[in-house]
Amino acid sequence: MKRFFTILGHRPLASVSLTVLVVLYFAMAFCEVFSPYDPTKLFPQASDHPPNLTWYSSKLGFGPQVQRMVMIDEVSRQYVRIQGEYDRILVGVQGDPVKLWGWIPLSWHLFGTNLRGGADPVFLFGTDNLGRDLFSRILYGARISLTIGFVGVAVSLTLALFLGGLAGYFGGFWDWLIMRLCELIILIPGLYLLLFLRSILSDKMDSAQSFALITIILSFVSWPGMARLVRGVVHSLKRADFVTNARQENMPPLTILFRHILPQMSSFLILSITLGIPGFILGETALSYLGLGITDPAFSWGSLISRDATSLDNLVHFPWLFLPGVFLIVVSLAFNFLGEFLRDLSDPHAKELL
Amino acid sequence: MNSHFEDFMVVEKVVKRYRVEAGFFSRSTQEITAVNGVSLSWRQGETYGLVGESGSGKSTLARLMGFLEQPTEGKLTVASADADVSSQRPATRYIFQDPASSMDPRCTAAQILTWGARYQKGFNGPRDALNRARHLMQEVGLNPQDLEKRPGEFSGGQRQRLALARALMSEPKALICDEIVSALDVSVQGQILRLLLDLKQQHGLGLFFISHDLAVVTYLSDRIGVMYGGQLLEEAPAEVWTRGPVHPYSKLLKDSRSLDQGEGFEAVNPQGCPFSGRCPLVQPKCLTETPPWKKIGPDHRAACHEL
Amino acid sequence: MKPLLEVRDLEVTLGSRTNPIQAVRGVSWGVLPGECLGIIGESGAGKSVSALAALGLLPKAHLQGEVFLDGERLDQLSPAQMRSRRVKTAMIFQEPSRSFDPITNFEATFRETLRAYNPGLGKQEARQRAHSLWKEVQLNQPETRLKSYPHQLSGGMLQRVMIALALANNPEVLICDEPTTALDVTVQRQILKLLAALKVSRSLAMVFISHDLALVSEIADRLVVMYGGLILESGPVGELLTSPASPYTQALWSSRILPGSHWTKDPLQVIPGLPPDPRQPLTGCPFAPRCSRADADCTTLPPLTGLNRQVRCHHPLSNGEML
Repeated sequence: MKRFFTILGHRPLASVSLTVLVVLYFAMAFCEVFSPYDPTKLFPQASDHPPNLTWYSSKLGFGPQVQRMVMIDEVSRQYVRIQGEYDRILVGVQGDPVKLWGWIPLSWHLFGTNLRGGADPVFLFGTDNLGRDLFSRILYGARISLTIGFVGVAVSLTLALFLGGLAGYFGGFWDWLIMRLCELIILIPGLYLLLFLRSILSDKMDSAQSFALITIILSFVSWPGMARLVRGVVHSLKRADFVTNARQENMPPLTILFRHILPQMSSFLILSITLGIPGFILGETALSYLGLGITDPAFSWGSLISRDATSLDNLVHFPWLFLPGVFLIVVSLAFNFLGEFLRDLSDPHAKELL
Repeated sequence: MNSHFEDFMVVEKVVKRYRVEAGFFSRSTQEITAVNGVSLSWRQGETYGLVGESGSGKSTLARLMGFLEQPTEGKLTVASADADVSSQRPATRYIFQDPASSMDPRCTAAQILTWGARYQKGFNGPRDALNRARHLMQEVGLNPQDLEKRPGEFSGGQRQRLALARALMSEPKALICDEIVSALDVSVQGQILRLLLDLKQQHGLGLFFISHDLAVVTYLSDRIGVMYGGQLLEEAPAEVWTRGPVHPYSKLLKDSRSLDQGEGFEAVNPQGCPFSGRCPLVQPKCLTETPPWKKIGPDHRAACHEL
Repeated sequence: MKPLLEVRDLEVTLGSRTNPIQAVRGVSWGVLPGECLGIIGESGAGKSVSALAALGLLPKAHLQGEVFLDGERLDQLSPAQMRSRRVKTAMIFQEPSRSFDPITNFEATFRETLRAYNPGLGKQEARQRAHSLWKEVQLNQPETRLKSYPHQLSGGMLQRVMIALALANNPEVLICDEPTTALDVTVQRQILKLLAALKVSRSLAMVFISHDLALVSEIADRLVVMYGGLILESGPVGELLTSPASPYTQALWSSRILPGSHWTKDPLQVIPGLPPDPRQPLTGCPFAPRCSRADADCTTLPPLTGLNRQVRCHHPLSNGEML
């Protein structure tokens, strides 16, 4: 562990990535607290409201505060800043009642403005066209976007390791069967399979069901490629001297497979995990973008992008609506950088990492 | 000279063939005969030295005797008087030439030593295994505090010591050492050989010692077998053999006079004497008939038409 | 005669700046045309590094000292200039089977090597040169064999091809880095014989690096015994072996196993302990912790004394004395 942090200290990109991911996942886990408003709450007077956070005003001095903005054109949704009208952003306010993780009732929010006292709401990242706070929506949307990667990779990697490992280690009939199955799945164009499966199953589903369905579809499509790689490595390692030596010690085949052979692949596995997670996130985004993923009222980063960031016009006039996309890119990059670092760390031959 | 000893392992007409896959579309698969009908008996507590050039099949024979592979024909029997055979306890332990590749690079020395112990007879829990590991580390001349190190952190000689300790964890009756000092510095070779002799005496181990280095094999062994082209050509007590080998191949080998740069042996479907292609005394029947064994002296036999 | 390749006070540091490895700590040797210099040492003694670094083949190494090739100072040349000088040198490595491209046949390999310094060489001409080289290393049937691939030849034959390739551009210096270690004993002898013959016929300046003193003594004219990055002893091979002055040389020589000896009669002479860690700075004689003659004097580094016959020891063995 000490080695981990020493080496991490010498890898600025990896440490930034790790920090970003930790912060994001933490915020996602407690998004009810971190977000100032319910993500579905409408602010009727604030459609397409730009971000209104400022750090200084002559009235309140330095500190986080919001400046009042008023819409002057209902059609083009243009806002003007009102001079001299500032409200302080407070840490810890009573606001909308929410349920943490769906069952702990709570109305305390980490930050916000004194709405009941007539203050303006805070929109860190602005609002969408219905006047919903984008910051809260990104945090809530992360629940789906950030977990689908983990769940999806866990499912597909388990399948790949188990089936690929069996095929590689035992060979013969099982090898033949599993590999042909992989090829069959790889043969089917992935996107069409997704569309097909989604369309026959998508009659009426709530968000939890469609989430589970998307995860399963994505894992099902992505395991064969990994399984083939696993099978190849296992196949070549099973004749290695140290495996023969373990067999000589009467170690059962499955123990050898999981203790000696698969750990040799850890750098490969770490890479597949860290590259796979953004893959799943993007997969979900793609599905949502096509309207086959998460649909209203549930939402994810993908559906946020597909809903708000689809027209050039929107991007020109309301650039903050593209922020979910920025989050997506940042998370993908962070996973890549972190994966590279972890791969180096897990390589027993790489001694000089500093 | 050691004839009063009981047999430990009897090898009877063992043949090992490997299939060579010629390609995806080819119908016929070629076969390579690595070991071609070898019979020998390895006695209790004896050091049997096997010499031969690379490709002579000595390593394959060793792997068969270590029960790492199954022979195509023939059989190997561990003496029935040995009560332990029926149990899980392996009677022999094969030790690899390259200790670096025979240990999982990700495991610590402690894991290398103790993980296998669970599957051996006489396993008394992980703590006992760790104690034995510590004890054995000391016995092979390693510092027990290095149990947390990984194989990559040891030097070549230390790794081979660790390999010996690992082999002894299963309390074998005999060790099969396949070129275990060939990859080491000359000065380290001596240390490992001395350790091997110490271990042999303390644990009453039999050794099956394979090397292409004649000086080392004759130094260590009680009896010597000479292998060529998958067959055993001569077998004699080490002392007798160093004084006077009788087989033409043994003679050339002992003088380490260059065996010209012949092609060696035809590995696929051999007939007759395997050495016939390079033998200075070759006769027509050497090409077609496998030479029979002839008794030269006590414990001394050779297979050659010319004797 | 002037040495063809000479290093003076060579120091080589490998590894990163935070974790430096002092592989060679000040070594001087030279090799004359038609002479074979044997460099002996255990792994980590710096024997290969000193030769490789001298020819600029360890790009990450940090060098100090002087290197002369045919009277020209090498260590101050740019990498490009170095490359042009390197045509005078050639190397043979330990594992012939790993040094070849498995999907290129020998003729193409030869052609490529020959063209490295003669870019315009024609295909026919290259083939002829390859033929004569093939025969020079005592391989037969060049017509058919040149078309074969590395996996079709045995280790000993591959090593011969390696030697032929090394000779392709008529080098004057041949560095052999453990060329026989991976080979069978019988094949080792053949390769040694071949190298000895080539040394004479081409009057090569040969550097033969090995850990096997008995083996090197068969080919070398002079020996350099290295330990812990330093020369402990050097001199003509006959003198050095009949009356070694350094206890290390003597221990190394007597720890070899004589043919015909048996453990029941001849106890094994072993040098106890481990070679020094090149990461640590030297405190005194590097061999002192393993030396039976070491005493309080040995906590300081002894100087290398002598000219033709050099020794670095506070308590050298006198003529023929045994430990």
